[in-house]
Amino acid sequence: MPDINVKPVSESGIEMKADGTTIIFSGSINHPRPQMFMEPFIEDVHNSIVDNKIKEVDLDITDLRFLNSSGIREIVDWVLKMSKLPEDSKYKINFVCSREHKWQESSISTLIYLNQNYTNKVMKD
Amino acid sequence: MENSAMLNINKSSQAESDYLDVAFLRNWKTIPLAMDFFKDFTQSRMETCGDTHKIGIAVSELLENAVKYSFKPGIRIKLDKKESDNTIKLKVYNFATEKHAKRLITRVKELNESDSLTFYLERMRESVKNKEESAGLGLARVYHETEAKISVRYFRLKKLVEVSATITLQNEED
Repeated sequence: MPDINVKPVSESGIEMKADGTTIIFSGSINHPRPQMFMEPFIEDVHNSIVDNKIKEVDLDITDLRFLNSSGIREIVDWVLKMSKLPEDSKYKINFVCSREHKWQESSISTLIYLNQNYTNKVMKD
Repeated sequence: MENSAMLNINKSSQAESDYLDVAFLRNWKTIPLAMDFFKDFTQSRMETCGDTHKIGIAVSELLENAVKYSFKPGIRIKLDKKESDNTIKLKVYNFATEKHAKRLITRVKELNESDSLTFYLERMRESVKNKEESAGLGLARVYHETEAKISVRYFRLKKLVEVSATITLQNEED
């Protein structure tokens, strides 16, 4: 299976990278304008997934301590962008969450309402 | 000077209530510190509650709005916890123009008349249309994810806006 090819990003205490078909966010996103670094990274991820015809990816946020609403907006943008693709190009996004960071339960539960057919939440201890 | 943080902390442990009162200038970097501090304070007072993360979410989002929209330095956040129940009242103050305050009052009215999930999803969709403009996503998040009762007041003479969020935490066995 092809991998997601993107350059890792390390910015303001946040790490974003891809490993195989898993995208990993770690640190804490409470930057006033996270779109400055999240938007280009997510754009590259999305393009790589589409170009490589990948059908399912994991977004591992188990080590993401916090995500502010400006960061949530970038994830919303990604989910809606994926949702606008033609049916045969759409891919599934699994949000891999940690029970340790309790905000993830409520925030991700809401996000998956945006596209319940193509998003999923997986809780890990 | 404007960007240097200054914390004034008053903590009182009275029979009927506990409170924190923190003031700082207008520094984004203070927000995560305040978020952790208020969350830890709540956790220490309400050990049986498993959802004190809600205080962290509310403090972060309300302070982000205050820092973003205040037209001059001077942000204040107060937490009031009554001994008798699991209710926390947060109040955040910042300087705001009348125009901004009116928009905020309208938004809070809309929010209080809506189903929280529907409103939050609407704000999410709206927020990506123009990322330079506020879509009220932070307030919608607090309303839905913390189940807060939100209200807003504007003190015209002082040009001060007060956003209040009342959050009831749950005991873990509930």
